[in-house]
Amino acid sequence: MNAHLLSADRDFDLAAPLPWGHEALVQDLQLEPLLEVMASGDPLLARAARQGLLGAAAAADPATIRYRQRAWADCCAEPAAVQKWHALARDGAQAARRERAGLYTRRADSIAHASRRALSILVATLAEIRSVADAHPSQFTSPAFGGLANRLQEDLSDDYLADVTGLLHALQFPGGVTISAGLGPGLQSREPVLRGPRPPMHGWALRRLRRRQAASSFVLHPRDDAGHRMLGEWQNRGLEGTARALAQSVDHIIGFLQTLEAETGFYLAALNLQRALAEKGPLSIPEPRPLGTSHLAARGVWDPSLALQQAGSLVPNSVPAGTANPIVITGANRGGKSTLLRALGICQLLMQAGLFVPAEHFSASVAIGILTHFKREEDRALARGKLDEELARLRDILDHLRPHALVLANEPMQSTNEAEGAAIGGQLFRALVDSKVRVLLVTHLHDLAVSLTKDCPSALSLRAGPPDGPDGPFVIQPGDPKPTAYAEGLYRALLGNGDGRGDGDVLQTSAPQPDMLGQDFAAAAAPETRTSAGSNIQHAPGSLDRAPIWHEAE
Amino acid sequence: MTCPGAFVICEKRSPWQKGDDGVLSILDRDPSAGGEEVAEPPYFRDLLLDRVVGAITAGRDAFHLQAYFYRPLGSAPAVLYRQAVFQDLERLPVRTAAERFAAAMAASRQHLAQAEALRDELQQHRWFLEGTLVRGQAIAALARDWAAANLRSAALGSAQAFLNQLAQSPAVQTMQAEAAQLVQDLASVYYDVHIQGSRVAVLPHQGDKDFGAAIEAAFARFRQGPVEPYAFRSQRDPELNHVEAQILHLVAQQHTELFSRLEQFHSTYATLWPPDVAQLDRELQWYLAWREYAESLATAGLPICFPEVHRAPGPMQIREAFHPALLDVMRPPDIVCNSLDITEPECIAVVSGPNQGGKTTFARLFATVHYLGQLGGPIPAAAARLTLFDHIFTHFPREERAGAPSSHLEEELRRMLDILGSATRESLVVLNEPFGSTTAQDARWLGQRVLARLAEIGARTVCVTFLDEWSRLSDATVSLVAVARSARRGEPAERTFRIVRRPADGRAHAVALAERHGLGYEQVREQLAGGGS
Repeated sequence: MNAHLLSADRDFDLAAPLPWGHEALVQDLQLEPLLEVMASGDPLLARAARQGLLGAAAAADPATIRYRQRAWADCCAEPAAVQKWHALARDGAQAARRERAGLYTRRADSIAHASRRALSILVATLAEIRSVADAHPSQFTSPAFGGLANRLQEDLSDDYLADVTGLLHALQFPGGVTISAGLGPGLQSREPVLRGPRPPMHGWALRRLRRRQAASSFVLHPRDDAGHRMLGEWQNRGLEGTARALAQSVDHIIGFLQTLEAETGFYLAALNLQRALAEKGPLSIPEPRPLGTSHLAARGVWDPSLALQQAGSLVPNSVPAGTANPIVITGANRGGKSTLLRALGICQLLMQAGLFVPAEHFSASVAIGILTHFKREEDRALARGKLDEELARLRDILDHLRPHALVLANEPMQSTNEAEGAAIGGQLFRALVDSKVRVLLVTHLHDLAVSLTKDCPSALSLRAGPPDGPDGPFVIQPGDPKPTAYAEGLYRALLGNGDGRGDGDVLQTSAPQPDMLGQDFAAAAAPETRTSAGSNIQHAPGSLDRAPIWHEAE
Repeated sequence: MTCPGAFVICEKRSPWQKGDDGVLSILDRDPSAGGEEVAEPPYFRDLLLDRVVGAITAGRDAFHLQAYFYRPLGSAPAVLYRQAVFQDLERLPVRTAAERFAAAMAASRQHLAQAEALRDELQQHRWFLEGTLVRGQAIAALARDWAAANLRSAALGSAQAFLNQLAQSPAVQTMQAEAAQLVQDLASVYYDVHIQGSRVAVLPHQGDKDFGAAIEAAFARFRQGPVEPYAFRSQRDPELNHVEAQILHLVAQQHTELFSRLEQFHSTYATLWPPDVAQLDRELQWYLAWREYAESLATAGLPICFPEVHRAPGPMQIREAFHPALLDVMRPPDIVCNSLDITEPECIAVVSGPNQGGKTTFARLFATVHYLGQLGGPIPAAAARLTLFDHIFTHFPREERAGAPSSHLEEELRRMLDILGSATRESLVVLNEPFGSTTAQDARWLGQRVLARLAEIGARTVCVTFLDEWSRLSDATVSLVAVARSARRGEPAERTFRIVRRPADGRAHAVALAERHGLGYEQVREQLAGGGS
């Protein structure tokens, strides 16, 4: 009996180790707000969300994804049944565990009795779980929920439940205990085994047995305490096999209930996320493509994490359909490059977890491992030692990469100068691409971007920038890297003169910049407004607000 | 003097018959050479042989194998007799059979001891049956396996013949058959115990189902993969308590014929085995212990060989040898091996060089290799041609005791004169920094005389000293120097523990001092050479 709501052939294991790099993934993709919404304060939902989402970074199987997508459809149709199962599984397992709590003894009789009581509770819980399936006979169309409902009805028939209850009753031994044994090497009893339950005996057969027993027996003196203790120990050895079977049955059923609790918990967490995101922007069911094609197509993708943290309208982006690798994103400061990178990473992760994505349309090849290398606070100093640190981080990532993994790199090689960064990064990322690792890269290192797009025939270059001169609205669209980050627009914004028209000069990145234009500020997104459902990012000069990527919805 | 269960572990030698033509032992070609147990030789501790023997015999204390190590052999054929056994044991079928025999003997001993220790007579008889059966099987198995293994050594060949004769004897054959039947019949006894309150009834098994299996089957559909095994730690005393004893005696009442056969077995076979079996077991332990030790050294990458042993005089060669006691203080890869050749007219090797350079270890090594070789076992060297010694004499500095009647020098000198009075042309002498307590001039004068006398006797000697003049006394002396060298430029001198044949150049003291400050000849050379290239 398995729940198998997340996978046709595996249990959802909350204790399974998360893939290497999951802490970085949470930090870099800013997943905490999503995980928080999913948990809604329930610790089990929190664990299920974390395991389901982060574990999906390393799972890459379109069949499993579709299995969950169909299960998800059932969840959306019957959320109350999912909720009911979850609560029954949780409460039943808890009550059974309570029966055994405080049982530190290793005595077979205590374990047998506690386990018998726990089993009575568990059998009652299972009956209730089955009745939920009875109440929703044909509502479940997915192999996951439909299959579970069928299994419950088949494996937990009324006859079965009656048999099991009878067996548990017999364990109270109304007519004494019979234990069989052989002779060991020193004539001690060997392998004593509890026998029963004995079918009822009547009439002469019973009388004959009683007579024979009386002829070959002894009675302990009532005050022979030591003797009674020895007899108890002997009897306990005979009970061991039965006690073990009982205790393990309890463990197995609790294990089943815990899995059911976790698996329904994952979908309940997803329902929480859906409720929170539905009002923020379009959600859709993504289309997983098989491993190894490096396919990606995204229309109207938005960053749900930012959306949860800020009220306002979204600025969606698009990536034209194709099998490009690497995808190199360059261009304007505050042009939404990092936001796009994060949104694509989250979409990939949610897709692999079998859930909906924040996009009008999203389809991608699955990836064995989603790993992030994002610019970190500690990398900002341009000291030589920082390069060592960064290279060590890249080395770690490399140690955990396989072909067909997805690497999201945000401003790598920040810790050195442009020439060295391009040289190191160029050969590194080219090597990854040639090794069939998919690379999504945001960089402002012009040389790096150019060398990658030139040396990798399958590269796609996206550029954030104003289509009509430095002051126009920013868009991210295919375009070769340019040796400018459109600092001029930012410069004007900081001057706050509100003058929308430039003088035509374009500031070069190599030109000296005012101190306040340091890395700190470059990391923050520019004020932008949503202009259309398309891929435009409009740059609205004049605001000094930190990182609002959209304005309050009017 | 018998140990429990008619088993004899440490009694006097009891030679066994080999057909009609006499007695034999797998340790001694001529058993009369053995005999009374001897004490630890006086030089054992100086040479650290006590540690080596301790390491070899570790875990086999019950056999008192040390005694066999106190008796070096007196002839080359005696050495070859043992070497042949070791070489037989190198072959897996021979060794595996011997190891199985040893394990079965140990089990048998334990069973018989158990039989002695228990109070309940039924239990005693049962353990006696087990011990006797296991021993009979062990003997038969070893006789059979060795017959098939094509033994090459005379010792094991005779042992096999003896075992075979024993195993085929009518008494043993009948015992085996009876024992096997009894064990089988006892194992097939199966009974039910019905407990209700204080009443305990015992009946033959009625055939009820296993309750645990019924539970398992009922809940099998929920099986989820591995769960806790619920191991119950029921400690069981081998001794039955009175409740268990009452149950057993009710069982015995229902099988009277079977339990009287068990009692009969005990009275019939109480004195079945000749003590020779135990002695073979003990002697075999000696071989297995040493072989296992040698194998552990070889596995660690250290050299092991069987030496050639000749009657003195003649050239003496030791190639790449090490002292196994070093394993107490360092890891195998750090151990440095050394060689020594002495050819007539040389007989005295004078070792000088820096402190802590491995000189004393080298001196011990020389005698240790000879000693182990003359015990007939494998030695810690890559190759060796040894000459037989009649005695080993060691002269090591003794702790000065406060209030001793004589002065330190006097005590040292007295011991030295004893050696000079007893040593022969066939003796080995190890002198470790003699006369270190006196002035250099006195030491020089005394040393000259001592070495001259030893050269006259012709005793093969290794002498460790800081006075390198000793090495230039005559044709009979060979000079060996401990070298120190730094592995890398600029690092302090590293002790190499290498002893090489080289004239002592009067620098022993100076070199030691300089190297301790990183200014040794080799160090400075290396530093300059490295800097120039």
